[in-house]
Amino acid sequence: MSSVVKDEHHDEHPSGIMRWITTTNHKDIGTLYLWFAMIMFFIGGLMALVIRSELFQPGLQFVDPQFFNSMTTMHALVMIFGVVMPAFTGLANWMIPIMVGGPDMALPRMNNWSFWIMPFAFSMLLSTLFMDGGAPAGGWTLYPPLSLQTGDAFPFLIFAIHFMGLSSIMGAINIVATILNMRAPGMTLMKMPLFVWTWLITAFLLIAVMPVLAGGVTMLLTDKFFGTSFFNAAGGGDPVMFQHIFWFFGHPEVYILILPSFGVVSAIIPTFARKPLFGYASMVYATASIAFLSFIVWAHHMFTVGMPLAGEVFFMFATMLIAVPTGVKVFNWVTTMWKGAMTFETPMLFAIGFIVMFTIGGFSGLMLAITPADFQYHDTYFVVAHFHYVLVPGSIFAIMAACYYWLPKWTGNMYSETLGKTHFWLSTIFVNLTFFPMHFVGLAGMPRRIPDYSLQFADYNMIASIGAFGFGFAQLIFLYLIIKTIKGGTKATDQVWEGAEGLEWTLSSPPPYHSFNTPPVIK
Amino acid sequence: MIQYKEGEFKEFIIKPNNSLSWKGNKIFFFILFFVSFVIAFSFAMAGMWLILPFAGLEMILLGSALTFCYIKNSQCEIVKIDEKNVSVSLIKSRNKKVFGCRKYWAKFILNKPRLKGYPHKLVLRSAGREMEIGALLTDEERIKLAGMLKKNVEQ
Repeated sequence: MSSVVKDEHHDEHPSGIMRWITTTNHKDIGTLYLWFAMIMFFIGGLMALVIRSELFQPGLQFVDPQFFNSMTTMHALVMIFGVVMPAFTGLANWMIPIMVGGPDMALPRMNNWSFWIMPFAFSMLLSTLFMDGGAPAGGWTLYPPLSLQTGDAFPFLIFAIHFMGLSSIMGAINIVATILNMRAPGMTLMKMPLFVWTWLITAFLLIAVMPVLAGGVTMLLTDKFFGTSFFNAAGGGDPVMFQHIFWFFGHPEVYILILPSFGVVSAIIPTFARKPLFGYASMVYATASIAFLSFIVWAHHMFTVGMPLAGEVFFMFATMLIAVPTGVKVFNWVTTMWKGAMTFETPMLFAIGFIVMFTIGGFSGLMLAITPADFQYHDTYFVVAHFHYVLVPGSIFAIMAACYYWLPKWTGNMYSETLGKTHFWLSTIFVNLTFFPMHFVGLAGMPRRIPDYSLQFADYNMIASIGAFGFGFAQLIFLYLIIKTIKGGTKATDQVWEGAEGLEWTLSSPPPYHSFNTPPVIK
Repeated sequence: MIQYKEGEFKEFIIKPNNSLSWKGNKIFFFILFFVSFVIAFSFAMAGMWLILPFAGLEMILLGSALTFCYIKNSQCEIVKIDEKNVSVSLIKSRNKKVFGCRKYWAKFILNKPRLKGYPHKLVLRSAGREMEIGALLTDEERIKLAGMLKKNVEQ
């Protein structure tokens, strides 16, 4: 024999900081993504509190308008690209290989790269706060010509977005390759957990639209520094074209932020209702339909730019169509709970909170879809209320639900149910206190992205600010709970939850460093 | 997956689980390629040509990733046992490595896992040296393969 294979101990890995820098293990990388998202959540949250402090009462109190606009812009960029997307990628890293019965992600080294690009991208983005001319202040949508007036921060902003996009694309390709190629024998596509399905479709969306964002921001860069006129009307360009480009990326991006939430909720509700998910196949088709429709509704973000009537009618009806597959999903979740042996542990509370409050956000979205009504709502706080209802009690609640649901599996310890429920109720009360009044001030005509406002909006803004601070402080409970659970607690069983089904619950809690070195057979 | 052939010698072909065929990978790639380029070309027609190179780079990355996965999953091990010798061929992409030993000295050993949840490990041991076989298989398949190999080498 010409070669000897050493007996490798699969549980061995580097320790200390090098473990995290060099790791190619999907669980380690998932953990890194989740902690990164947590840190960015508090940074983005602090920015939100600066905004709400300034808006606590009319007049200018704490910051100048330029810095206020920087805060709104940076808060959005941080929360979208630094919190929700990495958190879902972290969940995907942790759970998808386990759920499909694979040993790891398909491309582990690329996985390491796709995470470690993120801290550089966000260091670059946050460093703009200290640059001449301040951080970007033209809104996360980067509309020219306003965004081209950004100071020294501009190229850093563009390159930070490129890096975030690169990281997302690498992550998406890895997830697609894993789901397609690493499934255990017997794990057919229609046997995959809904979380895996929603991520497969999300990855598809990411791959389809990220080049559009990359191209769009690069054209902004060349317009500013290389004399091109893609969006410069004086040079024959069209600034409205940027809006088309941006929202062609931006609307699918909205679904990139919400589809994995659907997967999380679809995993949690059957567990605590102790019933199989109602209408699995219809959930898959509904998710695919939402993804398809997300490509043909982008112009509902720009009804007021002056489109032809036919265009406005088309985009209005296409947008309203999204309510159909979304309604199928909400119906299926409610029907799963119907006559189930329900218990209300923290993940279930967050999942139910998600359904109720995401539906409120969905309905206000339907209102915004109606073109003539949108002419009134456009650029008001009603829009702010709408997308925050979709993203905070929607995406963020789903991420929290997922953390509570899988935390005992990840750490091997049960979390404190009392603290978890306290976190849920405080979050729910304060999130509504923050964002519900925004509907009223928006309908009354308060414009978004302003540091000062008319006196008639004062009361609701004060309530919203109190809600925001309450919500922020409630998240410290979440942080404390996670650290406490990692450090110890009652030992979790392998199945953790009585009604839990799926491959992840067949592994020990915490799972071995390398799970499913060989794929299990799915019956 | 284990394929067994019996002729002049006994042959075991061991392949990893691959949940999507090369054809399936190609279909998936071309769907994404089509969607991505329809979008990029449409914008290019409107003068926004800078989206095209990014779409192209992304497709190169996607294609490479899928190809790499397929190559990684298309490796196989072939164990041949004749009257006097045992040989193991490791085939990865276009590389082929062959290891051989005398049947008399060959011993297939199935090591139990040290920790719960870990797989068994099958090794071929001869004259103080050993090599792992069947790491590409499921645990149940590996146990089955161990039984088949032991039986054949002891005959």
